[in-house]
Amino acid sequence: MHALIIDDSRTMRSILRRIVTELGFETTEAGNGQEALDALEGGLVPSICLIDWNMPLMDGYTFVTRVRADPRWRDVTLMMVTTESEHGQIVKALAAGAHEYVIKPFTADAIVDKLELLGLTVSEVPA
Amino acid sequence: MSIGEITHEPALADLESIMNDCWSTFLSNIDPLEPVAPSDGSAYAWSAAITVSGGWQALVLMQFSRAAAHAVAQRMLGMGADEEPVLDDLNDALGELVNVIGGNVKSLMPGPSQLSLPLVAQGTVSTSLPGRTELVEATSLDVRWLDEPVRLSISVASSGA
Repeated sequence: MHALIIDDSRTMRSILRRIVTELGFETTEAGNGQEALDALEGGLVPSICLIDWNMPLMDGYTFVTRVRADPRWRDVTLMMVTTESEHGQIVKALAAGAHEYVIKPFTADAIVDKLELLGLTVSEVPA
Repeated sequence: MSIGEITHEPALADLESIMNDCWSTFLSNIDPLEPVAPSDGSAYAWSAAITVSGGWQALVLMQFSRAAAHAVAQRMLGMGADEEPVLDDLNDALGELVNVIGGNVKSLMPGPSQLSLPLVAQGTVSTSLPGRTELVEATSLDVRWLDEPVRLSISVASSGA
């Protein structure tokens, strides 16, 4: 399985990469929504995208709407991973086509629980 | 409401809870944060700040000693204890930490509000709220981590500013 990690923070990409790599995912990283779209256009077919909300150039919400508007990527699972925790924003992201929503700070267990809910097989929780 | 009156402020217990959650998740679940009395601030070498604007207006500021800032970057980036973080590592890690803490503080306060991009600096961050000239420190939490000082403070715009 392959995870596309989309966050303008190298630190957060590093944290997410360590968690999902332990779970057996290969990873690709993008610093904003446009970089992630470019990766998809280039042929990357991830099982899941982990998407921050606030990013320069293209934010996570716009990325979700762009991916959901293109039938080529209908099977890609989209999970927001963000500090934005206001109810209205969660509803907005889910309505746009995000499958799940994780609020920072998150534990590895929380990521695993969400991946299991999404039907993505994971190996075991990292120590 | 009188001029200069503080409109809203998070409770100290909420700041403690948010900091402990962030630390146990991203930094360490074995090296606890120990609340301490405020210091004179001379030990702080790094600052990271983020502003909240909208339904609640505030400045969230974190201050770190040099050793604490380096330890934050090392742990958040998965570096070895003997690896020295460079400037870019410190900017990114401290910025992300204040972003997460600021987002969680924002979620407790009246909204809707927006977070700015984080600012990180050696020494003191210089920032202000849009259209406001006066900030009043409303709540602060001083802790020691790895026996190094870390401070979180929330300043809000005084209503008459």
